[in-house]
Amino acid sequence: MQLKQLLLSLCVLLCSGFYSNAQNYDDLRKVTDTYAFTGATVEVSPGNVLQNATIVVEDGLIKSVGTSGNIPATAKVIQLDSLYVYPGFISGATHAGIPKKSAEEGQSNRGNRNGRIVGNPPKERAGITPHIKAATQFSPSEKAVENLRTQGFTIAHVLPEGRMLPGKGALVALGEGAANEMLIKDETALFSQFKNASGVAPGTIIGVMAKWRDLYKTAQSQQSYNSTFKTSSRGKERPDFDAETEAFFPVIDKQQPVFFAADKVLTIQRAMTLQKELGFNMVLFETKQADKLASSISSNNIPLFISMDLPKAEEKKQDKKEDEAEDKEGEAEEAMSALEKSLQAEKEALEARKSKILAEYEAQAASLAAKGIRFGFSTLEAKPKDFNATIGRMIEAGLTPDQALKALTTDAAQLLGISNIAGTIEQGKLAHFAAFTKPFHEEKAQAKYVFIEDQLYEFEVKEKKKKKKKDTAEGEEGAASEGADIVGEWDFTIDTPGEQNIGVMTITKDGDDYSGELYTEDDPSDVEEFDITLDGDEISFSFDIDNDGMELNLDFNLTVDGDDMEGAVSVGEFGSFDMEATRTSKPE
Amino acid sequence: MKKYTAITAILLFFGLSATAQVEKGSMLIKNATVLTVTDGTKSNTDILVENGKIKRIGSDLKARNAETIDATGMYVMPGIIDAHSHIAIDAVNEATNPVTAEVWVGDALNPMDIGIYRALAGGVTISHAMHGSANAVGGQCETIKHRWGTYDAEEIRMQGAPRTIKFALGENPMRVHGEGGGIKPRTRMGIEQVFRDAFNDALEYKKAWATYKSNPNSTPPEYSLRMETLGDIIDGEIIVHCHSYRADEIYMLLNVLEDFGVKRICFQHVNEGFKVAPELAEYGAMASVFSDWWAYKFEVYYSTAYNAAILTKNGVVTSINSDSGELIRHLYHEAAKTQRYGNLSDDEALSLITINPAKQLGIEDRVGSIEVGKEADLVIFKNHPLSIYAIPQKTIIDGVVYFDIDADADDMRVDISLDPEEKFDATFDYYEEGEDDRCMEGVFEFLFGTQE
Repeated sequence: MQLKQLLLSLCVLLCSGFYSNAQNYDDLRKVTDTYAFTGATVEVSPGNVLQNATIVVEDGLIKSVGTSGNIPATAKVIQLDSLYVYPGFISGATHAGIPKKSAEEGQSNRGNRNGRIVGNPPKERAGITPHIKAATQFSPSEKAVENLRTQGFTIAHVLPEGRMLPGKGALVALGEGAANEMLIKDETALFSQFKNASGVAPGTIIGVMAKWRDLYKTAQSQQSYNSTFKTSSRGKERPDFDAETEAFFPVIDKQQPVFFAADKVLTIQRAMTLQKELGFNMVLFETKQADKLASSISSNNIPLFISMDLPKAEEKKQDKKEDEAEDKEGEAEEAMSALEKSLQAEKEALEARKSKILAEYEAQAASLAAKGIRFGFSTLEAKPKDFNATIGRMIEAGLTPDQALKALTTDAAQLLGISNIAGTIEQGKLAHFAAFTKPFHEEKAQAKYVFIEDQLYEFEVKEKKKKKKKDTAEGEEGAASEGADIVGEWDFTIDTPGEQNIGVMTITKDGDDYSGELYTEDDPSDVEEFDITLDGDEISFSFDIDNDGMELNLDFNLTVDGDDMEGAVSVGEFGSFDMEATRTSKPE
Repeated sequence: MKKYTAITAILLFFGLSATAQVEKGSMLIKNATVLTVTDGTKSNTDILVENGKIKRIGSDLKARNAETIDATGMYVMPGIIDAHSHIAIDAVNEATNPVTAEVWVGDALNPMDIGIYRALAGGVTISHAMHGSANAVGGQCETIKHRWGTYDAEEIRMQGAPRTIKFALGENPMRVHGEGGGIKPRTRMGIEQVFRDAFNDALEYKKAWATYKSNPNSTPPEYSLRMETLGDIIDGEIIVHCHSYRADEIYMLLNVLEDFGVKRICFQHVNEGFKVAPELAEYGAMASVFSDWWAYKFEVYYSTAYNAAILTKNGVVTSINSDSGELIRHLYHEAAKTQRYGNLSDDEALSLITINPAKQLGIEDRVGSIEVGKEADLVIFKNHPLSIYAIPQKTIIDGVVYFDIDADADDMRVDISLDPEEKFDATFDYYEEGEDDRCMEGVFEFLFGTQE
C-alpha cells in the first residue's frame, strides 16, 4: 500500500501544472457518467437520514436518492455498505490551492530602509492588492486541496494570500482537473484581514485601520466622479483608472461583501467598527471568540464562519509531568519554602483559569448555536488532519452533531449563497458527498470515499497507532529501535510571529544512530548539527544558538507521518512555535 | 467633533449606544477628609453619588438605596488623570511617515491591558492613551476611563472627550526618519518644515475641495484622510499634544501654530519649559511634565525638578504625567515632589494630577475635581495622598468601584485575555536597560522588521 501511495504522489508531482483529469480510483477511460451508490446510511440533509439508501448520479448531478430507487442499467455501481454518507462539506474560507509565495517575496528590506518607500510603498508591497483574484491563482493540484478533500470537503471559498487586502475570493469544487472547471463562482468577496505590511506603511494595526478608511473613501469619491463623468464628460478631466480603487466599487454597491478575518474579540470589534462606519456588507470569518459578541453580530445580521482552529487540548504528557512533580512534592513538602508554596498555588490557579478559557474556545460553536446564530466553519489556519478531533471537542462542549453538520453543509451553503446547488444530497444538486467509516463526528471517523460530480476518490483507511503498537509488541526490541523512516532531506517551515522561517534539514543514519543538520534560507552558511532521538514516529533533537550574545536553546519535537513532519520548536523562554517539514529527497 | 458625532449617530442607529453600556453607580462616602482641589479641603464630609454623578457634598447625608462606604480617617480626592500614557493600546507608533495624522490609537484600544488595573491601583481613573513620538505629526490619541473588567473597547472610551493628536519635536523623529530613512527631518530645522509643509498641504487640500464644491464641473481632489485630519487641527477641532524638550524648539512650534491659527496646544515633557514659561503662558499653551526624570538622552540633560513649580508660578496650566506603566502607579508621589522642589501648596500639587490634566484634555467641566454635578471619579486614600505613606484603598469611576485593595487577587487579568497555551513563568518582569521612553515603543521592532 505504501508503495502505491508513493507512486501516486509521484504521479501528482509529475502532473502538477498540467491539465489532468486524474481519477485516483480508476485509470481506465470513463465508460459512463451515471453512478449508483448503494447500501450506505445517507444523511440527505442534517437530521434527514435514510438507511440502506441508493444515490444515483448523472452528469455530475444528483438524479435521485432513496431507499427504493431503481439503478439505471448504465450506472457504475459503487457499494458503500456500512458507510455513512454526508453532503460534501464546505469551507467558508481557506488558502488551499493558492500557491505559497516564495520566501523572498515576503521578505522585508531589513537594514536597507528608504524613508520614501517606507512611507509610501508600492501598493503591492503595502499588501493592498484587492484586484487580485483567487480564481486565477487557484491550482487544484496543490497538496492542501487534497488534504481538505481527504476530510470530506468538496467545496471551498478560496482566498488569495497576502496582507491587509489580498484580493477577491472564489468558490471552487475541490476536485482534480483544470482550475477553470473547478470554479463555481468568481469574485465572491473582498478579503481583508488585520495584517500590516512588514517594514513599510501600514506598519501597525492603527495604520491598517486608517488605510482602510482612506482607501474606501477614496474609492467612494472616485466612483461618484466616474458616474458624473459618464453622464456629462465635456469639460471634465478624464477619471483615473486604478485597479486597486475599482476593486472597491462592487463592495460600495453592496454587490460583494467584505470577508473579514477576525479571530479574537478585539479584532472582531475592529472589523465591526469599520463596517459600521463605512456601511459595507460584511462576513466575519476565522472567529475564535464570536460568542462573546453574539448579540451585536446577530443584531447586525453579520454572516459568520468560525475557525476550526482550536488552541491545543491539554495533553496527557503534562499530567505525567505534574504527577512527577506531585511525587516530588510529597517527598519534599516540608522542605518547600513559603515562596515555593505560593508559586505552586499561583501555578495551580493559573492552570485552572487556562482550563476554563480553553473550554470557552471549545464552546464558541455551541454557545452561538444555543443563541440561534447560524454559522459555517472556516479553515484558514486549522490543519485538516485535526478536523475530526476539533469537531469532537466542539461537540463535547455542547454542540449537537446536527448543528455541526449544518455548519459544515446547509448553513455554510446558505451563507455563501449556494444552497440551491450544494449543501444537501437532494435531487438536482451537485453530486458532492463523502462516505465516512463512522458517523462523521465520532472519534477517528475517516472519509473512505469522496465523490465530486464525476470524480471518485478513495482513501486508505488508517488504523493508526493501535496497529503500530501491536507491531511493536510483536517485534519488541527490533521494531522499537527501528522507528519511522526519517532519513533524507526535508524542507521545513517554522512559524514565528510575523514571519515564516524556511530552511532545509538533512537527516542521516549511522548504525542505529540518527543525526542531522539544518540551516535556514536567511543564512545557508550557518549550519547547525545535532543528534536525533527517534521514538516510534516521534523525533526530537535540540541545540543551542547564540543570539546576540544570548545563549538560546532550541528544542525540537516532531511527529513523522510518511513524508511529512509536524510539531513544534521551543525557543528558550520565548515560547513554542509550530514547525512543519516535508521530505524532498530520500537516499536510494 | 464631526467624526464622533457621526460615529455616535451610527451607533445609536444600530441600537448599540456605547454610553448606554457604561455602568453607573450610586454610593455614599461618609466622614472623609475631602480634597476637592477646586474648593479646598473639607473634613468630616460626606459625598453622595447618584447614577455616576456627584449629587451632594456635605455632612449627615443620607443614601436612599446606595451602598455606604465609611471613610472615617480616610482622604478622598478626585480620580487622578494622566495626560500622557500608552497603556491600553495595541499599537503606539505608526513610524512609517513623518506625518501620520490619519492614524488613531483609539482604533487599537485594548481594554484588557493589565496596565489599566495597575493604574487604578494607583488611583488613576483617566489616562490619555497617546500615539508615540516617532513622527513629527503622529497619530490621534484617545482619552480613556479605566473601567476595568470589560473586553468591550467602547466601554473604556471617554465618550465626548475632545479629539487630540500627538506631535513630536527633536531627536525621535530626526532619528527615525532622518537617520533611519534618509528623508526629512534630519534636523530640528527640518522638523519645523515638516509642520509647515503639512499645514500648507492641508490648506491647499481644503481650498481644492471648496473649489470643487462651488464648481461641479471641476475635478475633485483625491480624498486623503491625512489631509482631512490636518484640516481639522487648523479648524480647532483637535487639541495638539506635542512631545518636546528644548526651549528653542518649543518656541519654534508656538510660532508655527500661531502662523496657522492653531490655538489649543499642550506641550508634553517640556523639560526646558521653565526657560519659556512666560511665553507659554502668554500663548495659552499648557505643559505636562515629569517630576524629576531626565538625562536619558542628549536633548534631556538641561532639566530641573523645579520645572513644574516654575511653570505653575508663571501661570502655565501644568500637569505631571507618567508616560510609563510604572510611574502611573504613583503619580501622587510624583505630584508631592513639587512640594519639596518648589513649595507648591497642597491644592497646587494635587491640581497637577487632577484638574490641570483635565484642562489639557478638554474635560475639566466633567472631571478633575470634587464638585456637585461632576462625574463621580474618586479615590479613597489611607493617609494624605501627598504623604509618602499614602495608599489608595478604593478607586471609583462613575460611582462604580473598580479597584478595592481588599479584593485584589494575584491575577486580576480579564478572563478571555488569557492564552490557554500560556506557560507558567515564575520569573518577574524587570525593566530592561534602554527601555527609557515608551514614546518610542514599537519603533525598534519596526526598524528591524520584527514587528508584525
